[in-house]
Amino acid sequence: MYEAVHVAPDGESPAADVVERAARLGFEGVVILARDATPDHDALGDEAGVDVVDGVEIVAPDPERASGAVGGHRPEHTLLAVRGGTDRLNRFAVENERVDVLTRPMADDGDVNHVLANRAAANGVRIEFDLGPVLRKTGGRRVQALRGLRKLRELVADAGAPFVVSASAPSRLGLRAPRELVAVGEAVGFDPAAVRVGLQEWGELAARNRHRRSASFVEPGVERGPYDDEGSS
Amino acid sequence: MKHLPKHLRPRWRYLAVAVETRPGASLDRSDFQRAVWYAAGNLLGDAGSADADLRVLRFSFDSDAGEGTAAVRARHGEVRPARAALACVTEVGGESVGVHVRGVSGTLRGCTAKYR
Repeated sequence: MYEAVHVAPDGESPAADVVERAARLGFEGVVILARDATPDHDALGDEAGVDVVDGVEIVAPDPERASGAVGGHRPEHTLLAVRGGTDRLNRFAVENERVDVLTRPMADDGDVNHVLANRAAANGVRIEFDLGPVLRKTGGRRVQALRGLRKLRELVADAGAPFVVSASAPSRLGLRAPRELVAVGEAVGFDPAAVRVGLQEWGELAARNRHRRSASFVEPGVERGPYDDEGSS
Repeated sequence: MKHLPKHLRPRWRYLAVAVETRPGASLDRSDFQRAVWYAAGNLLGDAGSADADLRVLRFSFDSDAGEGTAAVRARHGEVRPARAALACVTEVGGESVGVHVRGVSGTLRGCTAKYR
């Protein structure tokens, strides 16, 4: 299972600490969602013995600026996420096939409806279930977050939209082990198997995108085969 | 009070918990116990919290390393809610902490011996 993390300067902890703790908690890999951070993914992965995925998270105030950033970052990174949080940004992300993940769609003023969930399913944009507020907030804030998660869960299930699960840890201490996340998900009404699928989805996305970026890939279903001399005529 | 016959005594599971915080912080058992109770009460509610009946039995903390271990007792069959409640412990005595269940045992001795 994989987890998406933020590292310094976007998060509070240095990349090496975050990756090391994630490895200790039993994750197979981590996706570093960078904004300003420029970690050395291969060196971090070798050090900790986990797969470290080169991801980027686009945090923009409006779709116009997000759109420019998507175009600029897409060729350079394995995984591209757009942070939601307003209706317009959520709409932009799910309409855009080049976006892999829509993060924190229900944060702040953001909302999702059946139209957006169906668009996400059609475009293969993963919707993130952010367990962070469930873990770290209490009282009214947590109730709001839970209400958002429940609504999102029903919409995603109805539309058959793909999804990912994350604890959106702000620092290394905010990370929680996969089994803990499954238990928390179950306590707040998720199907435990769905939480596991959501944690694995980060890894599957990374594998798919790496394959797409490899030299043999032409387009979905079309690849350069291994028969260049004798096989071709 | 006379102790209960064996088949009526509650059965327990013991969770070996690793606690991590910044080096130099000092945490003690009562702070951790309070944080666990609050987390369980807030996440599981009064009824769920009473069912899980979480109690911190052992707590050791190395202030220099900022790491510690605890043995937390939970009622048999309530390990999943207990795990969820422990995952929601994010602050102990004003220090932010990372909590991780390393394993679950049927006896306290097993818990402390295997996951020291």
